[in-house]
Amino acid sequence: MSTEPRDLLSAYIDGELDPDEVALVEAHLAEQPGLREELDALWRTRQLVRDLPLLPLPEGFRPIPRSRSPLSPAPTRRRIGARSLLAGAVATLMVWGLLLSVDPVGEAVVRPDLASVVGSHISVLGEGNSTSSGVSEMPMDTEAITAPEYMDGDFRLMYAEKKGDMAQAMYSDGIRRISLFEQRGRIDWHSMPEDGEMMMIDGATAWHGAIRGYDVLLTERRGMVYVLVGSGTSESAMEEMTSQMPGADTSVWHRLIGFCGRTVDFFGLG
Amino acid sequence: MLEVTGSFRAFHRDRAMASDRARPRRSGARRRGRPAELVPTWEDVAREHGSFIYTVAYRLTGSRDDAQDLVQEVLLRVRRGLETYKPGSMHGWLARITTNAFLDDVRRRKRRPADALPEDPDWVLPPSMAADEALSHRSLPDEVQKAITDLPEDYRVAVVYSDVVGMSYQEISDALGVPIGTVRSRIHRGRDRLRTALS
Repeated sequence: MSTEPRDLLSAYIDGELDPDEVALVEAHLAEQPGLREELDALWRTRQLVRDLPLLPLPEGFRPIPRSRSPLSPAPTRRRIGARSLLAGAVATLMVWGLLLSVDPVGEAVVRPDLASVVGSHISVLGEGNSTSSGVSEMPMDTEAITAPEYMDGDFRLMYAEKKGDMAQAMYSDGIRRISLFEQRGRIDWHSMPEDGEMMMIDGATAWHGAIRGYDVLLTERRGMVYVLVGSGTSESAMEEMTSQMPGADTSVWHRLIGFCGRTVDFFGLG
Repeated sequence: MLEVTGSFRAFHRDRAMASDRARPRRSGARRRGRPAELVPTWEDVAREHGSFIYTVAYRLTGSRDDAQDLVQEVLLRVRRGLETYKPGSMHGWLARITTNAFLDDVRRRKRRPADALPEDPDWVLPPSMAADEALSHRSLPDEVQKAITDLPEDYRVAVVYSDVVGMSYQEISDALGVPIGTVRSRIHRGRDRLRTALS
């Protein structure tokens, strides 16, 4: 702990010194006019900060998770089938998907068709029409959007396709599969199904729910809309991914935004 | 390109460990018999303390947009962790959540240099305005806020805890997990920089 009187001035002002330190500071204050001036300046500075007004919430601000009680139980999640559970016991399989329809009234608003999202996810997985990797044949050369290095090289691109205004890509690390879709626009959060929950991911509004046994996450940021569909996850994998607990210094959002940014650039949709 | 470290596997492993340590149980408080009437609802917190959270968030970020994002994140964390709230320490509890969320965001931005620059800080005036004229349009609170925003995060958080939230050094020490001498040093250095900036 410093015993330099100058370094103790703020704590002196705040009444946070022990008696010996108070005596030390006051002895120096009595002898050094310059130190007294410094003390006064620090006191005025502290007062300037303390006098800053309490700010009202901006007009129109609405907390996002507004439709549910904070103590209400989590939305019921559909249980995944035995086959998926078995697969999940070996490895977590996650697939991200998106199918968004453009609202003809508000051109910037997109409305998620979650049933189609899941259908697209199943289709891309190539169930019933798959290659040896279990994923449909890649429709085009997509080397330019191979998985970024920050995935530790675990993931590589398995599939990519432009679907209208959307970009879709599926990555796999040999165990899990992740399909990412994105579209320029924004979401009308009031239209989200009730059987999900609103949340924030790294400051971005998101909706999370379960459709046909698949975890679905929808979010937006800076004019881009993203949807995630996870399948065959272990009980809490998706929840862990979408959570942002205090102390967790990273989240899936960084990976998501990195993936999607790469994909949308490739397709020239950015 | 965003800079992100780790892998999904490591992420899940770390998250699971963090959750084991920190995740509040949804109905734990009621099971433990805490009187329900002492625990405010999430809506109560948003309605009655939203302004406080926003003020702390704005003092930390210096940007209205960032502050609103931070408030949303804080309210979500409040929603998740309301059962851990101990009646009587609401502002301290909210300030800690707000600061943790702010510091999380700072760490993320440092890993993502492209996002590190502030987006239209609120104190920036239109470029067509002459410098002298711009200065004359700035209010004293704007100047003070800019000086706070310019502080290093460690100093800024300490000063905001002390002079905006009104926490004691011991409370700040507990909140930040640093020795009380470090709190004392950060507050003093922060104020000293403010004094220089505002003189």
